[in-house]
Amino acid sequence: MVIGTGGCNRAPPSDKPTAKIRPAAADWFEDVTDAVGLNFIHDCGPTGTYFMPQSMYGGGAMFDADGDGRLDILLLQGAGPNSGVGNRLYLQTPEGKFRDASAGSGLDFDGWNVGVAIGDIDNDGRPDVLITQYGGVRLLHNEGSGKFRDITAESGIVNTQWGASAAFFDYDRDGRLDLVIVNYLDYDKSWPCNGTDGKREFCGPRTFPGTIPRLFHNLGPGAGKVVQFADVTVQAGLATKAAPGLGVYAADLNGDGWPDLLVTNDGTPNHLWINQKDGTFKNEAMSRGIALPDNGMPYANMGIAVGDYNGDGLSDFFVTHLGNETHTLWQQGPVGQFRDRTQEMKAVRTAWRGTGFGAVAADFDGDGWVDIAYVNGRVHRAPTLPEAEHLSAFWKPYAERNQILRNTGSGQFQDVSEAQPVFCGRANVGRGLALGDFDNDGKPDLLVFSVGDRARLYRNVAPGGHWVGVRVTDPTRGGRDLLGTEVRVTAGSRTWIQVAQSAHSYLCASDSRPLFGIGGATAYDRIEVAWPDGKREVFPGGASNHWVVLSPGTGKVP
Amino acid sequence: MRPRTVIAVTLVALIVAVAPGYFFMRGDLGIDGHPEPPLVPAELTDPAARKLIEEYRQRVLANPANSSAWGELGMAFDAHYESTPAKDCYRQAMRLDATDARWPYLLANTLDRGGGDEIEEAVRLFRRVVDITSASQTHRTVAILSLADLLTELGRGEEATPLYEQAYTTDPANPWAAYRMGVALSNRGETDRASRILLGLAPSSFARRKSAIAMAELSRRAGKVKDAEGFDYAAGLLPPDDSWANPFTAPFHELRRGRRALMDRYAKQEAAQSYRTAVQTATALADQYPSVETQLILLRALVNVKEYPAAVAVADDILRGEDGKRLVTAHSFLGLARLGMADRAEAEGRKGETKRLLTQAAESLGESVRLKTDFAPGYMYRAKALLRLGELTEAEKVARAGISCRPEEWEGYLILADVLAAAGRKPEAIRTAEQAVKLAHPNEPRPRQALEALKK
Repeated sequence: MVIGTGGCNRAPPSDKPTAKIRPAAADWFEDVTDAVGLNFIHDCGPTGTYFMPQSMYGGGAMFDADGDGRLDILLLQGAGPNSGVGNRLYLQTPEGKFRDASAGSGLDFDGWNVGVAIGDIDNDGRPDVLITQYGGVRLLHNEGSGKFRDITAESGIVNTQWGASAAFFDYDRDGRLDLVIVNYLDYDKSWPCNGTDGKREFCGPRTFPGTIPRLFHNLGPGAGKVVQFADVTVQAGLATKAAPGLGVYAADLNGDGWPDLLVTNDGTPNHLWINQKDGTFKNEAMSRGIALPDNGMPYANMGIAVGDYNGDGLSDFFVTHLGNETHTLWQQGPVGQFRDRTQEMKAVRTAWRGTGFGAVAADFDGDGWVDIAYVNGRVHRAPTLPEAEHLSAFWKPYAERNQILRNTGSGQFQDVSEAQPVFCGRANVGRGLALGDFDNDGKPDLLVFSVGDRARLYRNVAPGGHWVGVRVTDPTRGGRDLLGTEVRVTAGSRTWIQVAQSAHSYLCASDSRPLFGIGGATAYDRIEVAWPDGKREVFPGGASNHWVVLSPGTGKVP
Repeated sequence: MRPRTVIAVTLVALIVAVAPGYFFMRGDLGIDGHPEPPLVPAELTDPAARKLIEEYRQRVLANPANSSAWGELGMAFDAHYESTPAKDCYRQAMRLDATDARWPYLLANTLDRGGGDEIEEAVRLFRRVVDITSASQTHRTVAILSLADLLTELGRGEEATPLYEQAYTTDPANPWAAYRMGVALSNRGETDRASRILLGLAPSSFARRKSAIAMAELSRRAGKVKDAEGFDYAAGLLPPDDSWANPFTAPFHELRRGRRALMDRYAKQEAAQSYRTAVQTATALADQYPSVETQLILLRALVNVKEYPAAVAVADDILRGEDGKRLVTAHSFLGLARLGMADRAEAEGRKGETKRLLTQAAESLGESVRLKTDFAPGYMYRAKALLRLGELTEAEKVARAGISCRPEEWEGYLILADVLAAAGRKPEAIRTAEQAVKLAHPNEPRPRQALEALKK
């Protein structure tokens, strides 16, 4: 076996165009990576050791790190402790460029960094950062102006497992953000796995036992401490089901006003932890129809794309799987019940099959219907695609092309990947995918994170369509974003729903502001909000194509 | 002859002379006007798989007009994920015998898996199989269900629904047909009939889990929360369902050879807790494809069936190499095997031997946690060994380390409770055992039994 002497990115990937990219009349995205100055190349450490976290990296975040109203970008490195390869923070300038502000930011540490969650843990109006790691976790307090301070030790947050996705949410509705970290496998790096050809290969999830997620209750500030958390995993009931967790989504999923948790598990049934309103959770995934796809097979559940795909006012879930499986679309209805509608929604027969990881839902083409984008990349070697030529020799056999499913209305999909060469024409070992409107133009943009490759920012340039953007904040809590708020926008006979939540997809934190594509509507009639504390308010309508900021107590009680 | 006739005759003669060469060059024509069977692809490197396909290839060469020989060669390719030559072989088999339902079915099945532009051909072929009257009823039912599933995937549910009903009416004992019918009825709100059908599938290894899930959903939708939770629990305990019984594809399993086939078989046997047969598979793997990984698999299989002396021999073999010394699981399985041997020695009254084995077990398990500091099984079993050696202070420390790694595992608390009880700290032991009861599922009797024993 030859152990690579360099990092997996030491030879920078080539950016030359690939042979099979076909021009399309109406590309929805423009690759602005170079134009905005985003020069991040992922380093996962020396290849050839088949250290399993390398094949599952990694994440990034789109959030306003310095409070200037513009989304900034955090991208994680996984080269390991003492590698000297630190994470990178890019602050957006007023001109829409990204400036590398990593040095001195407090975020530029090395390690086996895996995933990101963003949330304001101390209600000071500045979003804080939680980074999951293989064998650790780091909590960084936002000190303002793009500077962060490591408060992991004083916060009481400990996680020695292989952390994957994480989410901030207020499960006890006390006004402070709590934290859930989804852990993956109890990985033993000494176990030598081989591929079907008998050569060394990354292990699969079935080789090792699963783990439990960790739930941390926010106790508020302690003596001289910004914030203190208590590990309440066991008493909350989350310790009863060990599984290889990868994705997480936190929101009220059964209509009782209390936030629940959807956890996607690799090769085992998903968990739907229903909040019992007393500090405990109960897994009801089976009877609520979202544990397994229709065929009863436990697929490799990874990224989560949340959206109301059929316009019935309820959130549905698209979950990505391996290339030889089928991604699954669970439609909600009635409230709290899910059904595998992948076939009926025509999401099965896609242009090509890939192993999907990060997945997001948004109205990319401005027609008022929520589309799906997801990134692909294999976990085991297969014949190299011609579109992977730019990658290093090690990662080429793992690369696949990304995909976009267009919602043709009422929740049926059409794979438009062939016609979207900018986003889908390039092969990558796609893992993280974050969603956010980085230029605040009302069109959802995409940030792609690929193993051993350049992170890429895709600006949405799709023509047409009207929109409404909503930011939900609470001035009494430092003006922080109220994660978990459910927002409904009504225009004419249609109502769109979204939840303000940055944690979805895979290992990433997206823009938490709900952004609604409302198609041809030039105005909206009203906005209804269900706040995280369960209270509801209605806000008046207005003209489309604007961002609005809503706060509790400023609307009408319905 | 007239000049035009001369030209025509010359052209015909040229074609006759050149054509065999052309077809020879393309490799399309073999003997007796039949095409040459596809070669084993160079990328398929596994010797066992290559050998099997070559055997079936020779059968075609020996009898190129035999449709079964062609179809079976297709299956040999198909069983090793070589779909392109498999499709060619199925097509040739169909040309030679249009009445054999196997070949259009298997071709359709391969096209279905591949997707893309060929999917409509798969639909046509499945329909063709349904219409082949010489096929048995079982075969035709499976073809109907495969067609219906494909149409559903293609979003053509209105075409699929009558086919499911046809399959169920014809063969209500077929679990595939019954499950699809039950779900269809559930979707239509015909709850009672759906329940009867789905509950009837509880004993079926093909559909017990799926039907339990469907019943859980149906119950929750009907507002029967307690029933839903019961089905929920049952579905969580059941192993994955077997693939639908399919007489067309069943012979594939016999044809699979090589490392990948053995690895898949081992994983399946282990998941089904068929540990005895898993040892046979693991032995074949280690013999035919010797590597540290296959040796570790064999070691695990031997420990699972309590073949401890054999496990120790394999572990010693692995640990002889420098690479082997770094393997956490080699040390931990060796420790487990020695613990098992200590049990036997103790049962036979060999006290000195028991102590020696327990000491060795504790050492091996200690090495496993030295290599992987969060390796909970290593801590837990080491604590057990230390407890039996009477080293209670160290046993408590180790047990607590195991709990800190996996606080969700009730077994860890039970081991700690045993250590505390042995140290005469009964109230602490009871509190610890109570924690184990809290963590274990209500249907798990061991923590409760241990707690009751402590309270006496």
